[in-house]
Amino acid sequence: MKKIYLFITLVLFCFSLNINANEKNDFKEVHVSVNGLVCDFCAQSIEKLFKKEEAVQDIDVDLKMGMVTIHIKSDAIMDDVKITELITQSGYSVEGIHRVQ
Amino acid sequence: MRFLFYIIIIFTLFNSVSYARPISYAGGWTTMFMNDDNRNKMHVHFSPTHKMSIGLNIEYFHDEELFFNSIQVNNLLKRWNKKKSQANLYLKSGFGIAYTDKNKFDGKSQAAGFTGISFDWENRSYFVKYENRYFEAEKIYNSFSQSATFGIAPYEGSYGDLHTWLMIKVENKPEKEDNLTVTPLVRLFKNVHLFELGLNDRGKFLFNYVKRY
Repeated sequence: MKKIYLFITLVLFCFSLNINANEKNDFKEVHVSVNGLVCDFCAQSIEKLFKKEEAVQDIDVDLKMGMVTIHIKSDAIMDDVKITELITQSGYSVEGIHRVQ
Repeated sequence: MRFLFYIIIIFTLFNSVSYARPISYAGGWTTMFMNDDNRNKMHVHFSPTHKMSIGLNIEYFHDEELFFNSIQVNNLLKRWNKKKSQANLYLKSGFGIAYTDKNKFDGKSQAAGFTGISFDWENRSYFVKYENRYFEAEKIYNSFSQSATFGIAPYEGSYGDLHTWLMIKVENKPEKEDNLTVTPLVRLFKNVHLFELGLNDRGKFLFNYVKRY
């Protein structure tokens, strides 16, 4: 009986992993470390410019870490050059870009 | 000398794009209302690019009973973006028409302009700002003013939180008999709204409001 429970648990665990994997594939995350990000107006500038882009699903700004997380649509592409261009247009500078698939 | 001043103003207005840096994000609008014991001011500007903003400026000087309507151009000459801080050097200039009802100038209007620089530095806990301005309406009124502001944030909020700053503004107007004004103020900042409320050492209120679109 214990083996059946163990087997069911294992199956459910694998199933949940698969669900999470599918969710993550819906979009790609890009973490951008930004210099000069000290206030809400700075964050709004970046948010408004990125949200105008067709490829962007959502964006999060972490003022404390100076980090912008861009959620890119699964069928879209946004390269580092474009990201740097948008951050610069907002008035800030990019320190580093890290992609999470 | 006045001719040179106007040349500088015109030069600034029409050549600012070349030297400017970001003010707001490209396509952003900002509305500002500023009121203190000496002046009421409304400034609406648009940033066509991230390098400058241009807008309408309307001011009323209480003591001088003077209206000033102008086109104002703000340039961000230099921005220093650091990991935990930001500093900016701005050039602010305007050119327009001044009108006064005061004494011998009753009903007089004429071309007028101003120019000045502003420097600020801030991180998430401290704020420092210095700015000056020279205003000239030729025969009606000329003035120079400068101010320094120091601020401290009692806590560091996240994006979207209510941000609070406790500040003190020291203003100097050399032309005035009582030429130093000290104004403690509170700045409240949430989403696209920024409020400042203060009371100066003469018991007069300061109220500023800024909204970004």
